[in-house]
Amino acid sequence: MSDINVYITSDLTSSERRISPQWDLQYFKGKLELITGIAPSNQTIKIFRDPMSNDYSIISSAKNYSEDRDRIVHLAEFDIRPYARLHIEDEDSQSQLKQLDFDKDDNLEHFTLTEEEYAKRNDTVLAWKKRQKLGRFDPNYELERKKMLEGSSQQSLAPEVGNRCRVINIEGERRGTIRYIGRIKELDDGEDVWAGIEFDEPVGKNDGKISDIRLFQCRAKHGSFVRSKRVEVGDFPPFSIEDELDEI
Amino acid sequence: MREVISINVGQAGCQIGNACWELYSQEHGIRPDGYLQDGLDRPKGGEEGFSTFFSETGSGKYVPRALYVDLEPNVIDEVRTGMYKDLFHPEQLIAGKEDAANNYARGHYTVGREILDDVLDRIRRMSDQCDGLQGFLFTHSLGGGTGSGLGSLLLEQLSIDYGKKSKLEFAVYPAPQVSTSVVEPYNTVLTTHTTLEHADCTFMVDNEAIYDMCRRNLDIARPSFNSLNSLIAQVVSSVTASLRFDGSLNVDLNEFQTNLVPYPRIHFPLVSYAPVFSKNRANHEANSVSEITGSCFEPGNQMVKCDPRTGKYMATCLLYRGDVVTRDVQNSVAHIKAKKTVQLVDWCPTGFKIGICYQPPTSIPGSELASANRAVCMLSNTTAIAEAWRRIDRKFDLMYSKRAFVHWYVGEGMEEGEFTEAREDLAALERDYIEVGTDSYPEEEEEY
Repeated sequence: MSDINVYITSDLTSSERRISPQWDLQYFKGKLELITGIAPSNQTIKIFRDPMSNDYSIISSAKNYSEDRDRIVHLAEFDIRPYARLHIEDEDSQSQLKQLDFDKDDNLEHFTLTEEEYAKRNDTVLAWKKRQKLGRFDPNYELERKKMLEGSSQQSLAPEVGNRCRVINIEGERRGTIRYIGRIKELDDGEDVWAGIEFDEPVGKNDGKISDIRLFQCRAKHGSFVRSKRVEVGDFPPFSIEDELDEI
Repeated sequence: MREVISINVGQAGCQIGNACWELYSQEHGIRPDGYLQDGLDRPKGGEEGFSTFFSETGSGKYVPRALYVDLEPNVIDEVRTGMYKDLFHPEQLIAGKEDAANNYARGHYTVGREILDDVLDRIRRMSDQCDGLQGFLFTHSLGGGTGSGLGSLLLEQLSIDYGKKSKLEFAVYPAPQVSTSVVEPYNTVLTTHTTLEHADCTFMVDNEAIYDMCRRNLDIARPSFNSLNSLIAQVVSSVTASLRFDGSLNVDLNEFQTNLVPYPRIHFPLVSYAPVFSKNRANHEANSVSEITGSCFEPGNQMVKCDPRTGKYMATCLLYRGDVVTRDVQNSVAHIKAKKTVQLVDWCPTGFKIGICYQPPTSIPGSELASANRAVCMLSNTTAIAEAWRRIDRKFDLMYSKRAFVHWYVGEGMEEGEFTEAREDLAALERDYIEVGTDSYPEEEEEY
């Protein structure tokens, strides 16, 4: 008899495996232990013959485990068809496996290197950046940053709260009213000046809040924060229906 | 000539190898017995390209430059008796007697060591038949015992024996939700640590992502390994097409590294592929260059589950095949660059590299995947893939904090220190990705 492909599942694992009908139960359980982590004496093996049904029968139960008997029972006796599912239950109530549920353990501390430990290693991206003077290790980095922040402001008027304004990007023009001007620590550590805008239409990202801090209040999806130099202040009334018809 | 030797290790590696060589044979007009299909007087794809992957015997028979290695006999026996049994020379198929039992230590130290010399000897003989060996293409899983243990052992040895020859990997990465074995996180972390300095470029494939793709796009209710592997083969084929077919924009094996890997450790590009749909839907789906390019940015077309919108891109390769004109490609690339969700690392040069191979994808008879006149495979080195490492590291930590099953490894002669060393290396890798993502200049168009 040739080998059979089956699915082996347990609470923590699921895999497609190839089994041989000639194997005896003891040998098979030894293999299952290495897949599922469940010791042979604690294994209860259920077979689900129909993938669409929850009906199963038990091939072997941990309750009457006997190594001697397992040695003389062969898998051929169980009529295991290709792509049947064999589910292995762990009958050990003290099992270590019960503590290995990855979704449930919230207290687990993720192991990380401290900044010092990471800096000590030679073969890292950090070491490479230092050697090649890239990023913040580039002598011109701070200068370039400042230049970009001060940037190419085209404004004739400094934006103030209450001004009508428009914002233009690749997706088009949006109009609204400025509701906030200032630095926002949560966004960029207070590096740049941001404008909070209440758009006339729901084309924004929020309702005036940045990470739970309310800077102004408007309807949902009507508010956004953009760099203040990108805002153009002026006589920009809300788009009328005629404007929109023009576009069509 | 610029030959490439494929090395398939372990069950997953060998089965993916089967699917790939079946597809390659079809694409080049080679019959399962190694002879040309009727009506052909030479293999498809041009002499230069074809001979990178196949050698020719005096009798007009073609033989894959491939080696199959597994520690247990089952999967290799299947190759020996299967439909493609005559395609391979018996020397190319190496099987041991005793499996690695899902244990890296058995694959790397005890059982794997025993067949190492034999394997290296066969690789030597194959490389002796090459005029100008480019390098090696590995397929293996990171979670299994043979794939992780023996796979990394071979990569280490090839670094010693073949110095700077390129080594690329296609690696089956553990699925996020369920493990195939309880010690999969150990194997993955251990093998990643060992191969980090030996592999030049690693393309990861997570079975869950492929599984979902088979169900969602190909309407396969319960995808088996066969369905998963034939889809993976299409992806591998797309990546290797530019090596195998003479074409206008060709890529060398080491170009993947040159274009995609700014720093050696950061060598895990995210792979996306389009189009993927079933024969039933084929007539209803549009398939223009811009559409398939756009699809590559959808999570459903990714080979590893992660969210590229949260990451920064270091480099991107778009490998087109089939009926594709350069102008359409240029338009599509311009469109991508304008996308806000594609953020580039801006303290080091980043680039878009385009490859075009005019041979359209071939569909395997019996496969659910509809044939398409064009397809694209996107390889992008994005920091988002660090999610995959964080995920497996977390699983490792949970097990290792309880020292669960560590004795299985120590029993095979491994020292516990190797666990800590490997985990620290992966922690450094997580930090490497963070470091890649920092130091960006302020974005003009940012909006919150």
